[in-house]
Amino acid sequence: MEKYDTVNPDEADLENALGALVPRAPRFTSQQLAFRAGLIVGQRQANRWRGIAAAAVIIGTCAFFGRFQSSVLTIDRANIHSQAQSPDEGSAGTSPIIAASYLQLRDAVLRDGWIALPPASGGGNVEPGVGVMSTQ
Amino acid sequence: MIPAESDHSLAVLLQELGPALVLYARTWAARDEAEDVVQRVFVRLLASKRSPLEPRSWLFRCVRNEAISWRRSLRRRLLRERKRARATESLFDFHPGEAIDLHDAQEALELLPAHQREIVVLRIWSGLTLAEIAAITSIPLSTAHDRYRSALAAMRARLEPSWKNTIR
Repeated sequence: MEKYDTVNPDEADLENALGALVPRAPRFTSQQLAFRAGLIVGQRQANRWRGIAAAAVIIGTCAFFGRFQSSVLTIDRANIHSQAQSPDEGSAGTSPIIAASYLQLRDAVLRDGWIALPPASGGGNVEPGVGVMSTQ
Repeated sequence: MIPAESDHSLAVLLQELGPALVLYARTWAARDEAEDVVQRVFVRLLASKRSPLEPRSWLFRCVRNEAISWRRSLRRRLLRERKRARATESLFDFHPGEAIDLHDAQEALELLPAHQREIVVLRIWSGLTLAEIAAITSIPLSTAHDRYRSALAAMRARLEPSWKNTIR
């Protein structure tokens, strides 16, 4: 490495002669540099605060609208899905069609009373009423 | 952030390296632009949060990059104007009793190709070793050495007529 930094005497003379020349000093001062640097640092800090303020505004806006969204009343609704009966299930369980007709009948009885019941298929003359159940 | 104690070190750094940095930047730019380049680099150093490990090498490297990118961004017409203006501006301060004629030295330096001139400036007026110069200019050490010697030979050939009294 050092061998590269050595020059012959003639080159050394030229080096010394050239080295005696003094390059012109810059026309700005260290105070001017410090001022410009301070300006840049100040701008950088201002930009950082602007960024923080913008983020706060965005977060605040989201929170504001989010509050209204959460106050919306939600009503749960029961959906009755009619499912096709798979052959595996066989006769076990109640057919969805039957279940649906039962619910309709129940609603009709609740609304209109006994009159909503269909006529008995047995042909008997038994009136619906309150009976005494046997304990046996 | 700018630490308060950096004011003094900045002044010292500017006093020690400012002229050499401006001279180095003038390899690619006219005086005003060269000073702008050096100023921008110093400001960047001051405004940076972490100071470089080797401020001297860092400054020269940054000045080089900044000056080259400045030169690239200029339009050709503007570049010609700057070149004309640069020819009339002195690179060095006049001091009586110098062994070498100031104008001849400036002319010899300006006639060197940029890749040789920057090595001469870094070696003679910035006091860097060829290893440091090789690192700054991103070339092998042997190439830096060859370029330096070629540049000295070229300058010597140009300066010899006016300098022959002092040459052995």
